[in-house]
Amino acid sequence: MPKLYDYVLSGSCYKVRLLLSLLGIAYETQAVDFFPGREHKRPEFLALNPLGQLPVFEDAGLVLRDAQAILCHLANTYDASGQWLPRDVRFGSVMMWLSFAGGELMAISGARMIAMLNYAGDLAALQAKARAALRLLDDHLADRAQAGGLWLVGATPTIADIAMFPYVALSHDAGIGHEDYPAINLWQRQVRKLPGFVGMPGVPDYF
Amino acid sequence: MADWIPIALSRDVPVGITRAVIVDTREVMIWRGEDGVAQVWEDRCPHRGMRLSLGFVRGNALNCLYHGWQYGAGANCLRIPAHPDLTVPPTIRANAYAATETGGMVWMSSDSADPPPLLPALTPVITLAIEAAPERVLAALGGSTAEPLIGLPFAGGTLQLGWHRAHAAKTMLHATGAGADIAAATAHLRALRQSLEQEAAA
Ligand SMILES: N[C@@H](CCC(=O)N[C@@H](CS)C(=O)NCC(=O)O)C(=O)O
Ligand code: FES
Repeated sequence: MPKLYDYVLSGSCYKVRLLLSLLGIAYETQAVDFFPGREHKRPEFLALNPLGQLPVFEDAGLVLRDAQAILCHLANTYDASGQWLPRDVRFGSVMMWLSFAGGELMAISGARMIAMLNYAGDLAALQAKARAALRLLDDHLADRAQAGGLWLVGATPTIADIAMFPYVALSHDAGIGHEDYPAINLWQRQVRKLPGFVGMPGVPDYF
Repeated sequence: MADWIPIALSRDVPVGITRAVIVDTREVMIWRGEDGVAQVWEDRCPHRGMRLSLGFVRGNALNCLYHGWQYGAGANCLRIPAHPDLTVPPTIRANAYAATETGGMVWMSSDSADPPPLLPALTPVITLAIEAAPERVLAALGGSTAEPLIGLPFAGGTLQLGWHRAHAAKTMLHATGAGADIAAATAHLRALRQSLEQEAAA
């Protein structure tokens, strides 16, 4: 059975749990004591991921790190419909948003760890970066909505939406509300309504 | 805050949704139940102060995320899940503002003595947050801080922009237009946002 090395409060692990649930894939988890234990920096975990980061996913002998790479693997392996990782003209756009989700948008993760776990760092600078990323997303989603689209890319949800959703929904933990982002507010609701949607602490699954 | 203030495009608050808005540093929320009526309340649950915008709409009621207290369209508390048999005293209520919709926008007032404005139906374009003081934004767009709407010439027509002050250094614009090219108007307003923010940062 596939195994997710997991920390329940991690937004990056949540990306993987969310797609696993949407695709209905059975899996087991191994809880990693990220805080306060810092288990992800111990030798046994570094043997799995030398970067010392969650999530890590094991599947049929493969050991994968990076939430975005894991989403690609899951869609590629388990989604026969091809909807979640389309292999046509949409492919490049999906990759673009995956890269953004693991890149610029992670400013929210950094700000959240400072705000919630008292990590060291420049909170104001990370919040400014997070706001810039959220504005870019809101502008894109507003354009999509004006053209009648509900999702980041194309007419169906893809792993781009799934990679983007967790830290957008968790931005409150980083001290950033959604007041400035009406298109994000509408899109978020569509994601929450997907069959099989699951939440996490801070992201209620009430739809 | 005696006057009527436009705080969102109606389009951005469909049935079943909550939306948080900052109005002059106050935390405000909008929600719309199945009856289609937009409600504008203080964004704070009377129970323990949870932000109601994080709650969820069911039918014509808003449920607080924290302990599930349920509020009806009249802002009165209908149900307290921890005490299901209790008839909730009418004194337990959310803090509602007067609200109306006109010109494609949701408007609020904390002093509803004045009648709300009445505008023709206008096509929603976009809401933009601009990191600049309302005084600067209004001056640059040819509006007045005494008026809730700015008429902005665009492509031979006029865009009607509602605006509200989020705080001293942030202005929210709610743009509508009759017959305007929505994508072109959006691009134009984003360019204005950029120049206003560059000026404000300089
Ligand atoms: N590129 C990785 C980054 C994931 C990440 O930042 N994980 C956090 C937990 S949410 C972590 O393990 N941080 C510890 C560290 O970076 O040292 C991904 O997208 O999966
Ligand atoms: S804080 Fe809202 S129900 Fe308790």
